[in-house]
Amino acid sequence: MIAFSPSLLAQDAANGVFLGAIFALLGIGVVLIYKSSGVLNFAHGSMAMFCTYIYFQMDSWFHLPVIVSLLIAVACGVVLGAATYLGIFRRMRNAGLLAKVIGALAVAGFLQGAAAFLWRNASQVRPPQQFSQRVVHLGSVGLDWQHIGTILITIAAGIGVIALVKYTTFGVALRATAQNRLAAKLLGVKEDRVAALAWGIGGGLAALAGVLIIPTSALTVYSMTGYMVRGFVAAVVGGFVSLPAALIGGFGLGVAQESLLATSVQSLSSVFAGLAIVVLLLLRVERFFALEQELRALEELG
Amino acid sequence: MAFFEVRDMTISFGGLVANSDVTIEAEEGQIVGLIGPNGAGKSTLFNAISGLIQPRAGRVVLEGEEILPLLPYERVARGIGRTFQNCRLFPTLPVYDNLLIAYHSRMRGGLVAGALRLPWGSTSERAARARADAVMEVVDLHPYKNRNVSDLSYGTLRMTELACLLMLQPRLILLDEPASGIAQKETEALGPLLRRIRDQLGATILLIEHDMPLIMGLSDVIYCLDLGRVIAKGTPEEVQRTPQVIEAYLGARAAEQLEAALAAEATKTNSKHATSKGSRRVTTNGAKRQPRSKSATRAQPAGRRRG
Amino acid sequence: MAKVMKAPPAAVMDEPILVEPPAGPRRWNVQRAALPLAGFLAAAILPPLILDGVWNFTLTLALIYGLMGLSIVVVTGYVGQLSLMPATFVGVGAFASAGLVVRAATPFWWAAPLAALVTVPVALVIGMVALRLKGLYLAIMTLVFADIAEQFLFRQDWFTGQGGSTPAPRPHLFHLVDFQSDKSYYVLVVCIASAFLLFMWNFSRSRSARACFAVRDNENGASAMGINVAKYKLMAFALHGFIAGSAGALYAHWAQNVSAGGQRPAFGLEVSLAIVFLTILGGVRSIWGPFIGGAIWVILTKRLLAGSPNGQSIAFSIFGVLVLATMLYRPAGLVGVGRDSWRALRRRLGGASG
Repeated sequence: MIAFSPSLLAQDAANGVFLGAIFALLGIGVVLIYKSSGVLNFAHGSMAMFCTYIYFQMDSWFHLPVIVSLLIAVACGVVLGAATYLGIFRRMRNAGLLAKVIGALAVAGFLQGAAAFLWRNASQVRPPQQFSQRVVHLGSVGLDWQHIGTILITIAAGIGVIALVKYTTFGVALRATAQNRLAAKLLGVKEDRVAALAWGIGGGLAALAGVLIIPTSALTVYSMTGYMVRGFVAAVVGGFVSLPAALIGGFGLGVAQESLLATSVQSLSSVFAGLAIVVLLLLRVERFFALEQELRALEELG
Repeated sequence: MAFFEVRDMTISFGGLVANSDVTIEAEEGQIVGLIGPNGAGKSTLFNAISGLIQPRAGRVVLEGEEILPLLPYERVARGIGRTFQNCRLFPTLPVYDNLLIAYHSRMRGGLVAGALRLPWGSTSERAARARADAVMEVVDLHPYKNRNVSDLSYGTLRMTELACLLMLQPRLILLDEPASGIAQKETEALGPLLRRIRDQLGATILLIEHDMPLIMGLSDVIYCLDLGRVIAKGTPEEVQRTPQVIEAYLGARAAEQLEAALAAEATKTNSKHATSKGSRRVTTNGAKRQPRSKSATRAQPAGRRRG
Repeated sequence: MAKVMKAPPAAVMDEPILVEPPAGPRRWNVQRAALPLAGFLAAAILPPLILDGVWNFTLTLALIYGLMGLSIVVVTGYVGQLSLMPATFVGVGAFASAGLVVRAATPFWWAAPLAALVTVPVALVIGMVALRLKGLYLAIMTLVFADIAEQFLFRQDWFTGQGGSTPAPRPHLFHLVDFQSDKSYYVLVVCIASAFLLFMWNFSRSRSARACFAVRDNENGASAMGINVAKYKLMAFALHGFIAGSAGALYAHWAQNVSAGGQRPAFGLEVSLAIVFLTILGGVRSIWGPFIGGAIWVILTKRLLAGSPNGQSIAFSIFGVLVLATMLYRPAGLVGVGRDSWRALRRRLGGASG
C-alpha cells in the first residue's frame, strides 16, 4: 500500500489547488482556441512567458504599479493571441493537421527565441507577485494571499468564460462553428471574427496565468513549458472542447499531482501529468464530455 | 446455396436499427440491383459486406466461405471489391499510382525487396504496370495517366475508382451509386461497360442505384429495401409492379392506384399477361411500356440524379 | 466519355494474375539513382579535402542532422504520422552505441548497427500507440514521451553511464585505417549517409512506399484496397527509429562523448523540434530535404551565430519564421521551391528555343 502522511497531505493538496488553478486557467485558454480554429496552441506557454517578460519589463523599467503592469501584460496577451490568429492561422483554416501543429510549434519557437534575445541580460529575475505573501491559516493548512488570489481569479475567469460561451452571441457563434463550420458560415457567422476573439481571450488568459505563477519562482524562457503541458492535460479531460471539464480537470490534476508528494511514491509527482495524459488519451475520455459531432467536426478540421 | 448470400443480416447503431433480417442471394454472374429510398440501409449493407462495420446478426457467405470473420483487407483478397459514394482515392498521387496501389495485395516485394531492387519485386512491378495500362485502356483513362487525383473532375474520379476496382479482378463487385453525379451521356455508357465487365470478368455485381432506367435495364434481380427491410424481390418488372415499392417511393396513394390498376389488368386480360417473367423486353425508358393507366406506368420512382 | 466504349482486348481480362516476365536475363536494374548519388558522393567528399577544419566540422554535423531529419521524412512525410520525438531515438542510438563500445568492448562496426537496431523496439512501442491514436493526439503523445524520456530515461545512470555521460571513441578499421581525424570521419559519414540515401531512393519507388503514401492520404481507402495499414504504420516507426538511432551513433562517435546535458538537454524537446523544423524547411516529403535543412541549421547555429551566447535561441526564432513561411506558402519546402524553379526554367528555355 502507498503510505502517506495526513498533515502533509492536506497542505500538499492545498498547494495543489493553487497549482491546479494555473493549469485550469491555461486549459480553458487552450480549449477556447481549439474550439474556434481547430488549432492546438503549442505556443500557449510561450505566449504566457513572453507576456510575463513584458510584465517584468513594465515593473523594472517604468516602475508601474503591479496592477497596471498586470493589465498591460494581459492586454499584450490578447493582442498577441489575436494577431497570431489573424496573421497565421487564419490562412491555415483549410490546411491539414501537420500545418497547424508545426505552425503552432513554430510560433512557440519564435517567441522563445525572441524572448531569449530581447531579455538576454535578464537572467533569473523575479518579477513581483501581485498579492501579499502573508500566510493565511485555514485549519492546518496555510496558503498565502497569492495562492488564494490566484484561485479566486481562476474561478472567476472560468465562470466568466463559460458564461460567455453559453449566453452571448459570440459563444453561440463559437459553438456553431465548432459543430458545423460550413453551416455556420452559410448562416452568416464570421468565423474569422469569432476565432480572433477566441484567440485574444485565450492569449489574455495565458498571460494572466503566467503573471500569476511565474513570480513564485524564477522567470526564464522555459518557465511555462511544464505548466503548458499540464494545461493540455486539463484540456484533454474535456476532449479539448469542454470548458467546464477543463476547469475541473485542471484543479483535479493539481490536487492529484501535489498530493503524491505526501505519499511514499513522491517521484511520481513530476511525471504524473505525463502519465495522466497518456492514460486519458488512450482511454478516449473526451467521449464522455464532448458532443460526438463536435469532436468529429474538429477532427476533420485538423 | 447461392454463389453469394447475405443471410438475416441485422445492423444497428446503438438504438438505431439500420438493417433487419435482410437476406440477399446472388448467383454467379448475376447483376443484382438494390433500390430503395434514402436511409433504407443499402450503403450500410455494403459497409457490412466489405467489413467497415460489424453487423449485430447475420451471415455473409461467398462461394461457401464465411466472410464476416475476415478483416477488410482479407475480404479484398477473397475477391470482394467495392466502390464508395465518396471516392476513396489518394489525392496527392497520380491516377497511375492509384491503380498500382489497387493492385498492391497481388504484388510481391516488401521493404527490403523494394530498397534493394531485388528481382521478384521488379518483375511484379512490371506485371502490375502492364495490367494498369490494360485497365486504363478499358476505362479510357489514358489521357489522365499522370494527373494528380486532386485535379480530376468528378466523373473521371468515378472512372478511376472503377479502374482501381478492376485491377484486382474481383469476383464480387459492390457498386454504390456509380451513376450519381455524372452526366447522362456518361450514364448511358455505364450500362454497357458494366455488362461487359460482368461478361468478361465473370464477376457478380451488386448494384445500388437511384437511376431507375439504368438499374432496371441492367439487373437480373432487384431487391427493394425500405427502412432496413427487404420489401420486394424479383425481376425488374415484378418489382416495378409491387405496391410496397411504389408506396416506399411515392406514397400510399400512388400504391393504391397501382393496386387498382393491377387488379383491373388481372380481370381484363388473361392470366398469362398477369404473371410477369423476364420475357418482356425491358427498354431503358420505362415510361414507354404498358400505357394502360397513367399512374401505374409512371412507376418510375423519382430517383436522385446526384448522390 | 463521349465515344462508345471500346471492347477491351480479351487477353487482358483472361490473363493470369501474375504475368510472366518478359524473357531475358535477370539482372539488377541499372540505377537511375546512380548518377545523382555519385554526384552527391563526389561533391560531398571533395570539400574537406580542400577546405579547412571548420568546414569539415560543419559539413559532418550537417550530414548527421540530415540523417536525423531523414527519419522524419519516412514517418511523417511518407506515412503521415507526426512524430515530435526524433531526438529521443537519436539519444537512444547514441548512448547504446557508446555504451556498447566502451562498456561491452564491441567494435564500432558492430556497435553502431546494433545500437540502431536497439532503437527499433522503442520506436515500435510508439508505433503501437500510433495505431490507436490519430493525428493530433499522436503528436501530443510523442511530445509527452519525449518529455518523459528527457526527465527519466536520460537521467538514469545505467543508461547514460556514470555521471550522465559516456565517452564514445572514434572507430578504427582493422587497425589499418583510423578515424581519429575529422576528415576521415567525415568520409565515413558521407558513405553511410549515401547508403541511407540510396536505400531511401529505391524504397520511395517501391510498392511499399506506395502503400505508405496511400495510408498517408486516405487510411480507410488504403484499408479498402487491401493494404494492411497497421503494418505500414509500424514499419514507418521502425524505420524512423532505425535511421534516427543510426544518426545518433554517428553523432556520438563524432563528438567522442555522449552526455544528456544539464541546462540544455542534448536529446530533449528543443532538439526534437529543431530536427522536425529543419526537415520541414527542406521538404518533408523529399529525401534531400532534411540534408538541405540540416545544412542551413548547422551553418546558422555553428557558423553565423556561433559567437553570440543566445545563438541557439536566435536560430530557433529564425527557423520559426522560416517554417511558418514554409507551411503557409510553400509546404513542399525548399526542395519543392527548387523543383518548381527548375520546371519553370525548363519551360522558359523550351519556349525560347521552340
